[in-house]
Amino acid sequence: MKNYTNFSVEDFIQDAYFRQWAFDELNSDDTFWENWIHLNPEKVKIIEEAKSLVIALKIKPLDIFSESEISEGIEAILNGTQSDNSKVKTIRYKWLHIAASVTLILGLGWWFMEKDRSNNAYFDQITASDPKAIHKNNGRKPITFELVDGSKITLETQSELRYGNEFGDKKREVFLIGEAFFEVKKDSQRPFLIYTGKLVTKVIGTSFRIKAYEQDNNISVSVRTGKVTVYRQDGKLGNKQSLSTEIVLIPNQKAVFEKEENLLIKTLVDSPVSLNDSPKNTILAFEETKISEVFNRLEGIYGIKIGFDKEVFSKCSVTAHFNNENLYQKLDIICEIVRAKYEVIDGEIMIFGNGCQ
Amino acid sequence: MKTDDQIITEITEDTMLWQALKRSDKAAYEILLKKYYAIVLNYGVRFYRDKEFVKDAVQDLFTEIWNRREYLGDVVSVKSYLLQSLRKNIIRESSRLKWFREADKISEDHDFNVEFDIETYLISRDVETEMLKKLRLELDKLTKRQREAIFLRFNQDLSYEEITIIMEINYRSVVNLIHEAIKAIRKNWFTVLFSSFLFIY
Repeated sequence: MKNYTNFSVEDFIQDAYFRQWAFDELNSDDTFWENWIHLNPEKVKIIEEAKSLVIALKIKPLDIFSESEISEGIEAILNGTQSDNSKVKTIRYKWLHIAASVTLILGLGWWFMEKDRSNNAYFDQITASDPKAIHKNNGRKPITFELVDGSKITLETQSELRYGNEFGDKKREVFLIGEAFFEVKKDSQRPFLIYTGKLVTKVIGTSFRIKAYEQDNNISVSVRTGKVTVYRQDGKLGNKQSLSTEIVLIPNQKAVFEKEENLLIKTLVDSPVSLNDSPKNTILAFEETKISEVFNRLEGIYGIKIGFDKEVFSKCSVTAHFNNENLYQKLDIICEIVRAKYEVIDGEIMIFGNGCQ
Repeated sequence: MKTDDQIITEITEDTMLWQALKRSDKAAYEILLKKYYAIVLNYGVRFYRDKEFVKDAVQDLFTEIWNRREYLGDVVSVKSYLLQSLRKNIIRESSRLKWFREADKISEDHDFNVEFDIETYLISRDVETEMLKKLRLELDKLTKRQREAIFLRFNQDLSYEEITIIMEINYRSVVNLIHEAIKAIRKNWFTVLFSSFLFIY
């Protein structure tokens, strides 16, 4: 905690934690400021002045644009930017005849590289030249080890991880069979790539779990922290990372790749965890709370977007106390109260119902 | 209100999305669009009260970003890049419009509409209209740039660095704008507030 003893009125105004307290936005069990004032009675005047100034500086929100206007605006932009835009095409076209010959040579070379990588030959080569670069877990317990870049891997049983002894300066690449939890060391210069059959997971620095057993019908990537990109590796010329097959995952989201259907879908992890581990988040009490606020709180805790029709549910409020229930149990209870249903769609939660009287 | 750590995490996440967007990742583009569309819109309308005009400007801005994604540079903060671009576009476009019709020109001394919530608060507390008038008078003394700086700092939780990018002024000027505004409010406002028996908590 910062040392606030020498803070002036203006220092307090600029302090985010203080402002939260002044706006009454802190959790009710956070008594830091009350205690602080108690211990520093000579600062009461400064605190009072700072608090009222924080309130005085609050700017009135504009209610010019309605919710529907905003979502229509977003929709219009998305429609207008569908697939490749004609504008970009015309610019590219000018260069096409010049660039064509160059592309052919580059493309061929690249294709050979891609081809090698998509079968295991590439990795067999690594392992053959350097036996250190293979981790196998045939035991009964998961094993944890560190890679040269400082990333921590927890390898589950019946799993195998291979990698080049030293990562290059462009990227860090590993090949996984089975299941592992990754805590990747941040390195924005060298993304970390995990190859699991046809699926590639790309990260910069984050933690997540991948399940890719050869006998399973699917491969899954579950994110704990940070952001992860997952895409299919088709090995076809010029199709390194096509738009439709790339997915960005945020915490508590999961990508599942169905091997047979060659289908990549985004959903939620089986048991979403609270994003900030502090225990005060486990107790959650609502008293006649507006449903929009209830969903806001849940969104904040789990980082998962909850979509619902604000107008339909505008009259709904919830009184409930949650303790150890997981997200789905909480949603079951809330939906019961307001007579609604929920579904997980594309890694987000959608609420359906007819609203309240 | 966000803590400094939250602001930093947010900037890093945005930068990752921005990098993905540059590689034609439509999903990343959509996340940024949904995150910032309303924020950018509500910022723009504070300069220029024509709803449709601002909507068009925001649509152009986001469409342009997607169309030019391959040529985009790296940005320090996506949010300040968006706000700065819209600000520039609106100021430029509105002065261009002036040639076609009698539109209000927003030039160097552009407009920036900010109302302080405290007025609502005081009205709800039955404060006499005489005092409200006096208060409003004091508030009007804040310059438009001071209002904008305060809006960006305290309403949008932006850092001084980000504000320098958006308002295209140097660091020292941002610090001064905010400092002077707080000083003015502190001096004028407090005389008004505490000369009556009003305590705001």
